[in-house]
Amino acid sequence: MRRTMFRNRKAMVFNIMIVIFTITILVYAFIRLSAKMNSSKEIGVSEFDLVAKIQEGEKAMIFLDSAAKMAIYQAVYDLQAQGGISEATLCGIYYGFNKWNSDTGQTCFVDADSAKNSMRDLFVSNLVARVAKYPSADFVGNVPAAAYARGAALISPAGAVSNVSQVAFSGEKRLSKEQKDVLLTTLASKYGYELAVLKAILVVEAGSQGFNPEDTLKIRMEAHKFNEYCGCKEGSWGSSTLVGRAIGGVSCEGGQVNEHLCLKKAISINENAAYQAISMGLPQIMGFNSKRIGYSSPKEMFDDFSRSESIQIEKLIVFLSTDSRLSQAIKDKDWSTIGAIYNGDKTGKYAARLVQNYKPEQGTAIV
Amino acid sequence: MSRIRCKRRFGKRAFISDILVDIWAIIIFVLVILIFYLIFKQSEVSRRQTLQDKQDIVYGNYLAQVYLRTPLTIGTQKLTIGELIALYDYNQSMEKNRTKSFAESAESLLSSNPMKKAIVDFTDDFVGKNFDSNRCFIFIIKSKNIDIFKAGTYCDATLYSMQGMNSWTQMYDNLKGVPNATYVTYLATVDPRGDPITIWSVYDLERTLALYPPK
Repeated sequence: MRRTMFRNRKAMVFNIMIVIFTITILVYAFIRLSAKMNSSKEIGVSEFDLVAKIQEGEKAMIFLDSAAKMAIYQAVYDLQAQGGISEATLCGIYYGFNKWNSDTGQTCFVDADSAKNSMRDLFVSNLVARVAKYPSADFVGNVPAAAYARGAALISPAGAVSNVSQVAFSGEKRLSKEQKDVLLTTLASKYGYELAVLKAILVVEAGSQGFNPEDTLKIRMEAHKFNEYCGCKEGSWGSSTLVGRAIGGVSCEGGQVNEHLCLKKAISINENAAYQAISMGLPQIMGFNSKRIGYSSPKEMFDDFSRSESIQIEKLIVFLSTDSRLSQAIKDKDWSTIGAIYNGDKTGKYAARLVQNYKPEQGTAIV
Repeated sequence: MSRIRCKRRFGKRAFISDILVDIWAIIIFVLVILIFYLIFKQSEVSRRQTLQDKQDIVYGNYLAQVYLRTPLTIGTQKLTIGELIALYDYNQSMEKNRTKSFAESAESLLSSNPMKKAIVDFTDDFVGKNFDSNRCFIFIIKSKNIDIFKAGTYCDATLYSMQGMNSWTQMYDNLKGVPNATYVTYLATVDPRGDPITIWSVYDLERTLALYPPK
């Protein structure tokens, strides 16, 4: 009997133990799996995330492919629109298009190397401009500053400036400070100038304003030059020594209103001489330089300068780059030479004013 | 013989209690297995659904990539449909009206421009062959001058059945909560000032919104 009872209990315990053991194992498995599910990603999710990341890269490549194709098309167009070269030449510019022959018979044909370099520059600028718009990746993080600046200018609020000719037609008469900076940055980097030097010139010449509050072009009548071009005697029509600057008895001193009255009087005497004798706009370039910067007459220059500050800035660059000594002086920051060539001042006063207004910390986006 | 031996060895009471214990143990054992089977099954279903949803997102993106890289021959020119879209976008402007019915939009798209017709025809063909008509898919090409909208016919029923979402406008609002990377592919424009062309490809809108529920 005792033996029977013992066997019976053992059987019972065995069955119950199996159930308890199974429950324990399953609960343990459930707890472990639940912990895995809660603490980290579920099985397979990481793998899909990895695939999704690869796909993001693929999508970026699609964008990059399309941007590169569009950029190369645009670069080809820009290059031909600029006469096969992106730099200004000594032959001058006609509405932004580099001329291959100057009016004096000089030739400025494009060679293969310069065309290649121009093509590369234009392509990089156009590519940067497009890929900078991609919202999901930073394509432009390692792009050189100059290329980035050119590309950024293409998509700036100032308007597309993919070539110099387009600058002239950006449409806005006055540019904001930011727009001027973008445009100057683009052109300065393109021609190898330092932005701060160009800004110093514009501040000294015209206080960085190409137009007066009444929307007239900022000018300065050089009466002695008027005399020279009209063949007038000193003091008869123009005067710059005895009673200040005056034309035909009309004083040019006392502000921009008087400058324009003076110009009006000068025009009534000799129109061509009048426009030749004034300096104009932001860079205050004299009218007698009109042909050098691509105009057929000083009157045409006056009319074009009256359209937009962007045109005035473009012509400043043309003016600088068509004088190799001046251009080099700008690059070297040779203030006295700049003063002597740009302003005709050999006393050093102009150079001192340039130095005073040279603020490189405000123009760092230059190579 | 054996039964007689059992009886002899354990007795009648022990035999009955033994059977009772065995039956209960087996019942509990089966119940335990069943309960845990259901628990594991349930978690597996939700996990599989999550993976399926992720796979659908990947597939939707993959379709957009295949679409954009598909080569076309237009006259003598060889280019991809993506390039054709970019060129068309640059050259054309058309009235955009999101409130138009799909039928009207399709009709306006099928107007005279041959580039447009090539894009629309190709898109129709591609979407018809690659997207599951039994799901609520959407395929949209959107830019300043292009507005092509393809959606599964299943969408209407699905959208109306989803709480708080009874129009396409609502759908756009809800999609704002979904990361762009999960359904948008970008294409560069010819004009660098323009915003990129966007291609929305959602293989299963309902499941995508389930994965990223609107806030």
